[in-house]
This record gives sequence, C-alpha cells and structure tokens, in this order.
Amino acid sequence: MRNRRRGVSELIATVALIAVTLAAMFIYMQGLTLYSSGESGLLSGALQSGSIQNYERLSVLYMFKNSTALYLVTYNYGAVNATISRLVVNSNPVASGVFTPTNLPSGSLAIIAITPGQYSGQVQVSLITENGNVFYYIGVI
Amino acid sequence: MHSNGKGKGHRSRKKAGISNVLGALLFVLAIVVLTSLVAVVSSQLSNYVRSADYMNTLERDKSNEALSLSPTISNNYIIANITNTGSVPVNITQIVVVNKATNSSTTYAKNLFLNPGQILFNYNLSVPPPSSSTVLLITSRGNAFLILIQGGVVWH
Repeated sequence: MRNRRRGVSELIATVALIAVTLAAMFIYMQGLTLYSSGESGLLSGALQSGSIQNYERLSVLYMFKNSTALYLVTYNYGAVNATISRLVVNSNPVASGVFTPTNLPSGSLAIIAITPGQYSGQVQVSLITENGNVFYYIGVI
Repeated sequence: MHSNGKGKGHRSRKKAGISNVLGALLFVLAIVVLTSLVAVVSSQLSNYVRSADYMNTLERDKSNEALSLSPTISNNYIIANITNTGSVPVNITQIVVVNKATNSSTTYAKNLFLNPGQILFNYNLSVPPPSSSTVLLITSRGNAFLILIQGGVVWH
C-alpha cells in the first residue's frame, strides 16, 4: 500500500515536472517570438526602428513664398525613404487638410508647399517623419 | 527480505535515471534559452551600431563638403569656375532655380562629380536663370551652394 502510493506520487511528480517544463518552454518561445519578430518585437522592434531612425536624414535647403504658399526645398540625403507625416511652422502644427503626408525617396528632392503662405520674417519649420524623427530648420523669408 | 531489497535498489536506480534525463533536459533548455537570446540581441545590436556608424560618417563627410564658385552669365546661361575645396568628393545631383519675380521654382537633374581639389573652368551649368533668381547647387549629401542673381548680375 505504501509502495503503491509512493509510485503514484513519483508518476504525478514526473508528469507535473514535464508539464511545467513544457509550459515554461511554450511561454519562453512566445516571449522570444514577441521579443524578436520584426518591427513589432519588443527588443528587435526597438533596435530596428532605432536603426531606421538613424538612417533617416532630411534637410530643408531653402524656403521661399509667393501669394499662395510657402515653399520648402527639402532633400532626403539619408539611406532610407522618409515620409513626412506632420509639419510644424512657428510652433503651430499645420492642419492635416493643408498638408498631406509626403513620401521622399532616398536621394530625392521635393518642394513642399504649405498654403496659405501668410508667413513672413523668421520662420521655424519642424518636419516630423513617420519614424519619429524631427528635422528643424530656421529661415528668413 | 532479499527480494525486497533488490526491488528497492531497482526503483532507486530507475529514479536516478529519470532525474538525470530531466536534469539534462533542463540544462539543454537553459543553454538554448541563453544562446538564442544572446544571438538575437547581438544581431540586432550590431545592425543598430552599423547604422549609427554609417550616419556618423555621412554627417562628417557632409560637413567636409566645400565648393568655391565663380559664376558669370554668358549667352543667358550660367558659366562657372567650380573648385572642390573640401576634403571629400562632391556630387552635384540637382540644380534648383527660384525665380524671385514670380517666386516659382524649376528643378534640373544633374550628375556633376568633383574630386577634392578638382577645378572645372568655365563650366556651363546649362541653366538659363531669370534676371532675379536664386540658384541652388544641391549635392548628394544634402548641402546647397547658392548663386544669387539680381538684375542680371551674379552674386555668390
């Protein structure tokens, strides 16, 4: 009777240990996948998006205006394509109806128009990209 | 008694066998966990470091770009002596002409390559500038070199 109880206990303990090991392995694999899968991964996502942020470079080379718009001569000299998602001019965000997100391939130039062109004197422009970079430029028109 | 003793000994050996296998299994699992974590982290980290290094080099080269321009207007085209006075090769990829009278712009694609110290004499930019305009020579690294034209006279 004593021997039999001990046998069951050993069997249960072994099964429980295997179950715990498999459960731990499953949780670990889930965590590792979450950690390392693409840009959504916690770790690889942070490092990958950091790398893309590093590769992204925009410069505003010149600005001019006429009666209809303010124009920004913008050049992407980074190693990756950049999408300008928001613009801030003189600390005021440009409304989404006025400015639509602009994609700038690597090595390309774009002349971005902001309507209406009511700005004058010193103008501060911040280009905010989809990847979270901010490129700042001050010009006088 | 004798047979009981044998039985106990047999069970004891069996337990030790299972324990060894489970121990080895857990050890292998621990090794797999550590190895895979280290592999993932080091791979991603090396990509990140490479990107930072690449962009540092690009920014340094960008700040070392320098051009000396001596432009004139001849036959309604800009003719210039262009000297690369910087320490890195320069590639002029775009020319933007901003007409100050109308405040409109025209972009010309270009592929003009200058090594450090190289001089181009009387180079025709093939750009017909308006009498009042700003001409931007834009390099592949995102620098702009300006030529100002006011009343048909060139300033730079």
